[in-house]
Amino acid sequence: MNIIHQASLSGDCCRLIDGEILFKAGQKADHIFLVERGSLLIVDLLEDTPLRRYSQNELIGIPEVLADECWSVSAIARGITDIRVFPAERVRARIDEMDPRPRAFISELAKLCA
Amino acid sequence: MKALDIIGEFQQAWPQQHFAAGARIIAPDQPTDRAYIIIDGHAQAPRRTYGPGDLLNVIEFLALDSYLTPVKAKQKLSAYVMSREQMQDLCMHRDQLTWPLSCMLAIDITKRGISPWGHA
Repeated sequence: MNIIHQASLSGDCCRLIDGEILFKAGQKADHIFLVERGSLLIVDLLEDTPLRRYSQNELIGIPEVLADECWSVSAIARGITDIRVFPAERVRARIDEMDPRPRAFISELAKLCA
Repeated sequence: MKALDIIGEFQQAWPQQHFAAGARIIAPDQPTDRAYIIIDGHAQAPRRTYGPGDLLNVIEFLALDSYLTPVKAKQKLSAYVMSREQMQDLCMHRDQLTWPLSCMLAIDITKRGISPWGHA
């Protein structure tokens, strides 16, 4: 059991140091991540290209989790970074519980990211 | 992006605004403090046409402080116009998660640089 999975089960925050990799391209997207402190740089490691940055209170991974996909990019912490981890099953279950109309709205938005 | 389902049975209660053909509905830099949902007619943005039920510039409304893309009435048009707070309350009335999740997804779409024009 890795530290990300452990944090997701306990509902804890996961603290990353500068340069630490949260996930890599090709890994199954089985968690979503909320940045609570610091920032995450999304990169294409093959091309060595930074793509975007997520900062405090920004969420990563809903589209990938809903589409049951693997990550196509990698995420690297910039500075000390605290991440709240939520398991995919819990996210999917929560969205499934929603009223059908807002659920459809969320699904349409998520598909725009796919 | 159809949004009438979100406001659902409450729609009769919302203020309506009428626009003449060619009238500007949304201007660039206009604060995203108002949501526009078309009731009748069509609206034109540079890269797409909106029809009944569409929430205009949905990603910009949810993710940004100001609209970027201008929208004009293509023909005589009626729209529900609601404040950001009203839209938020309406979304959260159905489920507390709807509003924050929608905004976070819209921010994500904006970050990914994905144009919603081809999809929504």
